[in-house]
Amino acid sequence: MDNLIIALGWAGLYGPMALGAIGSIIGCALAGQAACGALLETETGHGRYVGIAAMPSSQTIYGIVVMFSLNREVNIDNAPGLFAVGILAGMALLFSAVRQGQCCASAINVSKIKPEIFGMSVAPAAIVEGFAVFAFIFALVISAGIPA
Amino acid sequence: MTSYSHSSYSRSSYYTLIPSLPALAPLNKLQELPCSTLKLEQRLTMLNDRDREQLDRALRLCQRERIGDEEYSDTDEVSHWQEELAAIDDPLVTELIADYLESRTLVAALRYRLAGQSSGADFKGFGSRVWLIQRNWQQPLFGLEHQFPWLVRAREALEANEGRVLENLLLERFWTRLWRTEQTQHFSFAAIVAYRLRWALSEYRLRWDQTAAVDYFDRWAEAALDQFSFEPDPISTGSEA
Repeated sequence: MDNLIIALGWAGLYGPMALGAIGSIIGCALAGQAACGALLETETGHGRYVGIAAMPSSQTIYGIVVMFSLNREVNIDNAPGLFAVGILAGMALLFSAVRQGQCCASAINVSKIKPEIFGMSVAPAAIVEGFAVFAFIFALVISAGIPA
Repeated sequence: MTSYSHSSYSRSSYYTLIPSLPALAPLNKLQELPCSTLKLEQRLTMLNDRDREQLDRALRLCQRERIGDEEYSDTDEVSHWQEELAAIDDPLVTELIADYLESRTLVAALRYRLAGQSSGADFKGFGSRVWLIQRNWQQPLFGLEHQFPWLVRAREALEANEGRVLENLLLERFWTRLWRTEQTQHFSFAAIVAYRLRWALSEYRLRWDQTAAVDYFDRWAEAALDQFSFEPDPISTGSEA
């Protein structure tokens, strides 16, 4: 049983990074595919399409930072806390990256038709990013309470 | 209906395909297609074989000008529709096309009644409301005016023998339905089918306008030429001698 608890502690430690990376992979792929499609149909503005497709990569960075903030010697006392904070933060980062990728894909799709709304169309993706930042910041704050 | 889920690979290809489709102008502002149909079809090669087959089926069902099936009876036509529709797996696409076929059924019923058919017992059509049409044959709009408010205008157009107005009404109604599907079903197969059907409607509408323009020009030219009486030139008509 102790081994299982320790294993969960390690999962919580690496979780934010791994789950954030999975989310970024999916999000960037979706937005990147939309950018590729838009390149076929537009003559200009290619750089911004590719740029916006990279937006969901920030969740991996947040995951890395949370992982470092949780990094400590895993023992039976701190493993449950590490698991709870790490996995929940990781899940939040994963979902936000996937949904942000979808928002970016939609932004690319509509701004291809109407380039002047590009700035406004990115707003939903920025709002989703805001929630990822909340999850990230409060994971850092709460990790301070986990025993070393 | 068999359940069919698009594979994750094909779903992800929709993310590339949909942004690559050129924007279509609204039907009432349509002047020309944004690119050739050949170019559009090249982009649609991103679809896998299964999706392509489903798309072709949807296009065939919604094709407004068909050649070779003039001898079909109504019963044959309806069973053909049912067979083709049953082979489409995506429920959203099925719903779209069923709505279109049902609107054709309603217009056909109006036409038959206007042509003098006194009883609806033999009427054949598509959809779950055929029995209502048969039962309410004597009612002006078969008792369906609340479910299909556009029937009022369709009947007026038919009675006034304004085929063009009726065609416009049906085109715009279907166009709006397709456009709404595209707006609500982002990056889905249904959105691709809706777009391709809108393209087909645009093509049809442009062809229709071209024909109307040629007809108008012919009538105008005849009227203009009638104002002048040409005397045959004896030199140029010498070969008749």
